[in-house]
Amino acid sequence: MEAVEKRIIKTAKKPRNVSRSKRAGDIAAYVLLALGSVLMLVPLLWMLGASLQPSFSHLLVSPFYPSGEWRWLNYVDIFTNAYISLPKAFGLSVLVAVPAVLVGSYISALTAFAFGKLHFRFKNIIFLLLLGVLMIPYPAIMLPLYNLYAKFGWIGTPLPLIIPKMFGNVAMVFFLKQYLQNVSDSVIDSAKIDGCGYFRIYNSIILPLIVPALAAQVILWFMGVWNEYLPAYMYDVQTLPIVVAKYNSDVAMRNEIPKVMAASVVSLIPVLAVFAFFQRGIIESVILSGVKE
Amino acid sequence: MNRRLHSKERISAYLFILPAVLGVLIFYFYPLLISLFASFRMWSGLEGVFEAPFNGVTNYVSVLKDPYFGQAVVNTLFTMIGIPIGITLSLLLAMLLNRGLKGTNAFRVIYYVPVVCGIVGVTLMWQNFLAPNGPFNKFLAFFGYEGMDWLAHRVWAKVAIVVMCVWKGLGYSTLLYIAGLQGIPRSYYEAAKLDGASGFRLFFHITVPLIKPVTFFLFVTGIISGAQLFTEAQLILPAASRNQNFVKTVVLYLYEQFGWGYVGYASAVAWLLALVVFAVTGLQFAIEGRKKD
Repeated sequence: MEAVEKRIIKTAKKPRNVSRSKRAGDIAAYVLLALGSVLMLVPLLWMLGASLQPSFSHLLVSPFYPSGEWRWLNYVDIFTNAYISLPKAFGLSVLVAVPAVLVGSYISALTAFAFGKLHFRFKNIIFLLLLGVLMIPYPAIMLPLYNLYAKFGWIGTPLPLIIPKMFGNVAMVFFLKQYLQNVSDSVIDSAKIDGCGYFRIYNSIILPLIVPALAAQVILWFMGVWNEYLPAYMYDVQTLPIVVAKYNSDVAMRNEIPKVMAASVVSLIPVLAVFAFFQRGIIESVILSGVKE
Repeated sequence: MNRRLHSKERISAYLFILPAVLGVLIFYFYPLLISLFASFRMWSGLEGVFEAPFNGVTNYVSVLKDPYFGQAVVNTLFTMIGIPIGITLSLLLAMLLNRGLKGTNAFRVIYYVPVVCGIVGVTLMWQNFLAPNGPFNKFLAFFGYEGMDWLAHRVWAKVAIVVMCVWKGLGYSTLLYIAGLQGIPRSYYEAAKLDGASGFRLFFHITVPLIKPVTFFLFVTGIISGAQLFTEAQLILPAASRNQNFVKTVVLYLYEQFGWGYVGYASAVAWLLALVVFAVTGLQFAIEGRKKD
């Protein structure tokens, strides 16, 4: 009896205690999250500040923020400086990323449609073959690829970064195939009765239906391709990351550091802009693919 | 009639998957096989693979005997200490972000910013951030500590890579943990709390075991991508003082051998790497398969 009474008192007391300790916990959580955010952003903000300094010696003056002089001309400089040819590299990066990702995504979705909704023999075996690609580390295939592309006369051209991607992206096929499970077969069946061919079913029914999932995947892939370094380095394609890295190793004098930082900022701006614009969709998509994993 | 419809479906399906299958064969399986053959030959990369003289397992033996390769393996393994650190931090972060606090979305965005940033820009930024006169040393000096040239030091240069990788990857693993945490039924915690379990015990007896699939996934993908570390190690050291041996990873070593024209030898390195990745992936499948039974 006494025990029960105690328990009742305990549970009755609980709400106030819980809410008080929860509030303390919330405050602690805010403090930790804010501290962490500072650690996340300070290096990037420092880079932005450093990119606006007149010279390296200005970076040395005071602890964090060097001087009050902001030299926006650094950005004009790196875009007009023939030494780094930033506009050309920027154009090349766009030329690589946009067609490769658009065509590759279209093909990936088409592949996912076939695997997710159509019936054919050896489907599972072929699908496993495709998935096998996800295991292959890139360094294990890049040497023969170099030879293959050399035979095609592709070294030094953007083609090695564009053409292979146009054949589709296996990770995307996998994700979209899962997503297609939510699309009911009846949509497809009724289109079939109306005499639609499968290619038309894909273009006019499936593609519009999966656009939300597809869009996030396209954006994530675009950001990945934009930042791609090793293949571009390997096949000598002067994309933005390559040119910026080369600029850094070429400037022997530390005085150029602010301009190197400016070039780095320029290389980050497109992905940061895309992220700022689509952040909600990107984060939801990563969480979603995490759940599926 | 029915049969004709089915064959039409089959033909369409094969056509739809054709590009992806071709792409996988040409750009993944073909080079993987070629590098396997090349690893048993003295291949300079200039002649055809099969014209190069066969030399059995000589390449593998000399790779394994080369102390520089051993150093590269040690360096690569060293950078992997970032994996458990990143996993621990991101689980804590995910728990802070899963309390339903106001502003959670803003924090998720902030922590994800380094993830989308290009590796080249980020590495150049860290290189300058950690420079002898850089802001990090200024920060230490502010508190009376004397910094040093971190990137010129055998161990600290590697630690710098670890810190950078953790910083860059935190947002991604945190999102996966958030997804995992949202999958744990709230009632488990409520039931345990009624039984008087402390927050500490809730964490170790409910959260940690139930979140294990995410942890496992992060470990495996961390090892696989960690084994292939390249860009960070190549670009972290300033051009002037590049004693790369401190940070030379397995893939950097491979690339160096390729550059010297020892392509057969480099292919042996590539296949050793591939075998490690296959083994880790195989282990993952085995463990996951056992769990499902």
